[in-house]
Amino acid sequence: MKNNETAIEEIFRAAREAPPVVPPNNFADQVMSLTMSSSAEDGIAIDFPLLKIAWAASFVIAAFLASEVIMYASGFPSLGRGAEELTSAYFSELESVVTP
Amino acid sequence: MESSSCICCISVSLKAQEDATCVRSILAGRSELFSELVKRYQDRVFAILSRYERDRGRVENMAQDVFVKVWRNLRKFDPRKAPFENWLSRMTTNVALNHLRAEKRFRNQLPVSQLGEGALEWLQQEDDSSSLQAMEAREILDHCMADLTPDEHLILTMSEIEGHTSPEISQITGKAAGTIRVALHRAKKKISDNLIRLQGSL
Repeated sequence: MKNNETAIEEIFRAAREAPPVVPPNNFADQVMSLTMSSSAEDGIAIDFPLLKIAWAASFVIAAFLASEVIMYASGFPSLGRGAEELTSAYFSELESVVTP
Repeated sequence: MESSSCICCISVSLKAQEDATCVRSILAGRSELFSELVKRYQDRVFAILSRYERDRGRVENMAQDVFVKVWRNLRKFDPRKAPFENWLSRMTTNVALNHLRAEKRFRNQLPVSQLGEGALEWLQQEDDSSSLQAMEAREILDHCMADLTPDEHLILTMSEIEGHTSPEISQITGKAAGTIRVALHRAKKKISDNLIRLQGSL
C-alpha cells in the first residue's frame, strides 16, 4: 500500500493539472439570448419565494392537524380542546366580574 | 521585485475600474456591453466550475446560470466593496456549491467499479513515486470526496486544487476563518480515511 500522505499529495497535484472545460465560441451569444429573455421573466422569478412560503405554511398546518389527531387518539388534551377550556374559563371569570 | 508587484497592483486596479465603468454603462442602458463582460470572464468561470464538475455540458449550464445571475443582480454590485472579479468569483462559487448540494442527494458513496483502469492500477502500485494522470486523479478524488458535505467539498477544492488561502476562502464564501479551518481539517481526515479504505478494498 502507498504512503497515504504522499498519495494524497500526488492526487491533488495531478488534479490541479486537469485541463478546464473550454467555453464554446458562441458562449457569450448564448448568455445574451438568455439574459434578454430573463428580463421578461423577472415576474416569474418572484413566484419562487412565494411558493416556498406556501409549502412552509401547508407543512405547519399539516403538522398541527397531525398532532391534534395523535393527541386526541392518545387521550391527551389537544390544542383545540385546551383553547376551548381556556376561553370558557376566561368567559366565566369575565361574567363573574361583569355581573356581581 | 517591489516595482513589478506595484505594476501588477496598478493593472489589477485599472482592470477593476474598467469593469466598474462597464457595469455602470450596462445599467445605464447599454445592455449589449454585458457580452464584453462575459467574454472577459468566461474562461475564469469555466475554470472554477471545472473543478467541481467533469461533464462538459453541465459545466456549460452552470456557467450560463452564473452569468444569468450576474445579469439579474448587477444592480447589487458595489465596486467600493469589492472588484467585479471577486464578486463574480463569489457568485460562481455559490453556483458550484448549489450544484454540489444537488449532487449530494444522488451520491453518498461511489462504487469502486466506477474507477477507470489507470486509477485502479495506480492505487495498487506500491511505489510512492509513481505519477498519476490528471483525469485519473479526478476519478479517485471524486470517489474519496463522495461522503464529504458540500461545504467541505467546496472548501477542500478551493484550498488544495484552486490554491486559495483560508482568508481568501473566507472572503469568497463569506464563512468565518475558523469555520474554514475546521472544515478543511475534517475534509482532509475524511479523504485520508477514504483513500485507506479504497486501497484496502482493492
